[in-house]
Order: sequence, then structure tokens, then C-alpha cells
Amino acid sequence: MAFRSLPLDSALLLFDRETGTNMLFDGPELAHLRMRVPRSVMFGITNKCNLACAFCSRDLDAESAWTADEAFAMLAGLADAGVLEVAFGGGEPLAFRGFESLVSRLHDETPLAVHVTTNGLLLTPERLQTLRGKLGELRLSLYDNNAWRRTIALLVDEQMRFGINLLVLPERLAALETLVLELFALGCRDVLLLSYNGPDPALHLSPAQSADLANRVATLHRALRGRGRVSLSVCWGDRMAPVPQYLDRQGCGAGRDFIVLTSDKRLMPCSFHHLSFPVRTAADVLAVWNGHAGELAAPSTVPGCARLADYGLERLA
Amino acid sequence: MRVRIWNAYASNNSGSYTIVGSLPSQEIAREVAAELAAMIEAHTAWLEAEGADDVSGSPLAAFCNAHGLTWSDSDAMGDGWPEYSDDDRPRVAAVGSQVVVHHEYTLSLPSVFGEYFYKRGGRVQNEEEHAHHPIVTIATLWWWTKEQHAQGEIELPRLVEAFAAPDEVLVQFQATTWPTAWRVGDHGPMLTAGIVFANLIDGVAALNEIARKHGAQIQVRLYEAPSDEHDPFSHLRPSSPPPGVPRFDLVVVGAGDNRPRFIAMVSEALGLQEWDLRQQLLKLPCTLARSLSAPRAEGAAALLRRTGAVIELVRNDG
Repeated sequence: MAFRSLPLDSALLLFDRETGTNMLFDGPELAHLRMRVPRSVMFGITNKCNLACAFCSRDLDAESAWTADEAFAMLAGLADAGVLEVAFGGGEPLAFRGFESLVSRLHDETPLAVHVTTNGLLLTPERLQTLRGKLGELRLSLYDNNAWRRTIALLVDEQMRFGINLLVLPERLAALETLVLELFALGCRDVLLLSYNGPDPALHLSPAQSADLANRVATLHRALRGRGRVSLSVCWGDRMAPVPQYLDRQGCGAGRDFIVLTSDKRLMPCSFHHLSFPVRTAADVLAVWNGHAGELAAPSTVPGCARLADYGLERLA
Repeated sequence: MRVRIWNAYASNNSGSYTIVGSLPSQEIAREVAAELAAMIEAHTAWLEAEGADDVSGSPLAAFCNAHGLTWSDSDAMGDGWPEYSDDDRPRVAAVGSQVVVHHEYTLSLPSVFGEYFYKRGGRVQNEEEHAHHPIVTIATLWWWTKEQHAQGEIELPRLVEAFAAPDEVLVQFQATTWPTAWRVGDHGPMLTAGIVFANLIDGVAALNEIARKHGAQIQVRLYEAPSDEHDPFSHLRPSSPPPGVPRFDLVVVGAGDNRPRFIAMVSEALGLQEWDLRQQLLKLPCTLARSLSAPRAEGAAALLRRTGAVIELVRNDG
């Protein structure tokens, strides 16, 4: 293993990109340490997508302002500053021209761990073979219309390290365990449950449904112990209190632990935030991260934000 | 000092296109189809050679200039043109006085196609943008004039036979999802048929050839099926008149102990994709193919039974 270190506030994180191993040291001996860069960058490199999902927060008509070379320069600069990981999303990142070459360059020429979240429809055995060994992790989004069983079979056949991103909508709640267990039966070992962030009241879980989900996740956690992992996105906040948590972290980390770079070259605290700042270079990113920390720590106005009272759902009701 | 170790990475969250133009005549439809096909061929080759950085000199731009059509850079590349399929050329067919343009894997196609139909005195009959479910073809074949009616009375039974024949040309293009269904008209010689083609353009071109061979007029309506799970031709079933020879569904009751060999055999016998098969076989019994001719159904069943699978043939005349 080759660990890179990232100073945090009164703590030190060691991270190995090949295995995804994290070692967190904290205590009075490390009280002098301060975080100087975000740990990871979520990079929405294109808004282009071959799907048009009702819950998507992206403007699909927005062109990508990035070229592959510009994206590489930005990320190489951030890696030099200490950033550990980049996770490409979108839009559909595999629809970005030259995506495989960009991933390959980032892996070969920077110390960054490189990940991608995809709907999987553009994946082929050939593309996966190109990406294998270069990607830390591939996350497959599960939708009603993206033939995910077929993609999982492909990922298993090609021995890719992958996980599933599952958006938990009210209609999915009743059969959640069945679906998660099917995913594990198909060869998946990592399921991330996402909450909906957006203006449609019908897609948010009610408080009772959130409590129901927490119980179902706790049950799945016990049932799947040792076989794999079911985890929750940071946007759930304390709605998932009954679920065992490994780290006693405070807050969602948006704008601090991680930042989002958008397809039109702006920095956002998270994908669902109303605030954004124009950035051209890695130095711009760090200047915004350092100089606008207060604003980046503000709640999003988009319903579903864990920083909002009642998650902003009361005004939707 | 406290040390905590875990394993995790950071991560984030995140069709087919068909247009049918109705033109003033069969001749104009053939002409328009040929022009569009030539432009598509040239534009796709140009993109391949030149890339998409500056598309102002592309064959599509030249076509728009030559015909006074609205030009937009984004039509010629990116979302407006296929990029990620085995064959990035949209395909075109003339069907009677209609023109069908289709690509099975793209976000969209340029609006130029529709605009050109109007320019040539026609109109857009239907556009299916970013479809994920199968494109359904409803074809109507009829004989127009009084003289043609007489010919139609003779040709209609032959046409039905052509649709129902086990090894007729349509079978080559038919998808294995929902079998073809048909019904003859009550008022004069007319046939309405519903087909899901595995290859839409080859399929509608074959339909056009059948209509020509039997001296019939033809019109197609194309639309996206609302789902993969429901029969889009329930309004046409049972097919009338029934096919002259019985047809069968191939149903897998048990896949045997050697799943990889079984899947390879099914791929060989029915031409199904292994990915789709794995998904279908998760829930048994499952119908692998519908309304196959008796020889084809029996041949496939015999082959699959050799792997230890339990196969049943269930009568389904469509």
C-alpha cells in the first residue's frame, strides 16, 4: 500500500487509493493540525446524459465548458495541493469525449484516486477493460430504465470494483430489502442509499417513511454483516439516527470535506446547492474554499438539504 | 491517540430516435430518402475524420445551406448526432410515400430532418425522441382504386400467408419480444399488422418490398411502446385469419445445472444477448421466444434440452 496523508483539523488521515483503505488518527498529539484542502472533488464534467430522469437536478442543455486537457490541469493542480480523490459524475461522464484517456492520465500522472458514477448504458467490455486498474471505484446508478441487471452482470464478468447508488423514493420503500438482497445475489457488495433533493414533494420521504427506512437499513445491516455494505448518503442527516454509524462526524461535509466542480466551471458546496463560484484553475478553487468557507457551510435552499430545519420539507407540505 | 481504519472511496451522484415524414408522393419519398442517406453517410464519415471541434464545414452544414434549412452547430455533433454505437450513422428508408429516419442509440437527431420534410411539401407524421422501450410498427396495407380492389381480393390471402409463413422475410427482422399480430379489414381488402422489429429500418424496408410485390399501398405508424412488459398488439390478437401452420412459445421451466453452457446454447439457437438472458433467467419459468414456427421451436428446444434444461413448447399462434 502507498498511503497519502491529509491533515485534518486536529487529526490526520492516511489514504491508499489502490485499496480504498482510510486510517484516521486523532488525539491531543495532533491538535496542531489544520485542514488545508478539501479531501475530495466531485466533478460534474458534463451535463450531457443519455437518460432524462424526472428527479435529475441538472440542466441537460448546458454544454460542458471543459476540455479533457483543462480538466486534467485542474485536477493535477488540486492533487499537488493535497486533494486525495476525484469522483466524476454528471450528467453521464461516459458521454464526455475522451473520458477514458482522461482517467488513464489522472491515474498514471497524478496520485489521485479516480472514481466514476454512471448510469452504465454506455459501458462495454472494451471500455471497462480500458478503465480497469485505473479506476478506484465505479458506482452504478440504479434507475427503472437503465438495464442495471445487465450492467451488473458485465461488471461482475469484468471483475470491476463497483457499488450501486440507489435513490430511495417513497415507491421503492416497501420492496427495499428485496431489491438490496437481489443486488447482493447478483454480485454487488456495496449499496449506497441516496435521498432525493429537489422540489417535488411526492419524491421525498415523509418523517414516518424516513423512520421506516432507518429500521429497514438497520435490519439489512445485521442481515448483510460480513457480506457487504449498505451505507447512507450524507444528505439523510439525522433522519437515519437508528442506523449504526462508524464515524462520529458532524455535518455533511459539503463545501469543506468535498466540493463540486460543475460542467460550466463553477464550484459548488454540493450538487444540490444554490451557491456557486466561477473557477478556472486549482488556485481559484483553493481561494474560494479558503475565502468563502462561511458561505460554503450554508444550507442549500433546495428541499432535502440536511442543513435546513426539517430538511426544508415543511414548506413543501 | 485514537486510530480508526475503514475502507471507502468518495463518490458522487448522478434511446432511440425515430422520425417519420409523410411526403406528397412515393417518388418524392424515395428521392428524399436517397438524399438524406447520402448526406448522413458523408456527415458521419466527415465527423469520424475531422472530429467535432468545428462543424461549420461539415456535409450537414452544406446540406442546410443548399436547401435553406436552419443550421446549428449542436445539430451536427454532440447530443445531435450519434457518438457511442457500433454504427453512428442514422438509417433511412422510404416506405410508400413516407420516409423513416432512425437511430437506435442517440440522445437526439437534428431538427433538420423534419424541416426538410416540410421543405419538400411533406409533413412530420411522428417523432420519437429519446425512446427507451421498443419502437412499435403498425402497418396498414390496402388497395386503393376500384380496379385495385379486384387485385386486392386476390392478393390479400397471399399477403396474409406471407405474414404468417414460418420462414417469410419478416421473421428475419422480427424481435423475439412480442410476435407479429394482424387483422384483415371489414371494408374492402385491407390488412393491419403490428410488428416489433429487431432492426427497424431493415424491417420497414422489408414491409415496403412485400407491399410492392403484392401491389398494395402501405402506410406505417411508429411509436414507442409504453413498456417492455406489456403486449403492444393486444388490440390485434388473436391474429385473424390465424396462421396456416401452428406456432409455439419456447418456455424455460428449468435451466439445468450448467448455466453458462445453457446461455451459450440459447445465444446460438435464438440469437439472444447473454446479458438479456441472464436477466430473464432470474425468474423461472420464462418465455425466451414467442410464436416461433414449429420447426424452429422444436429445433431450438431439442438443442437446449441437451444441456439438461427443461423446455416446454406452448401453442401461441399470435
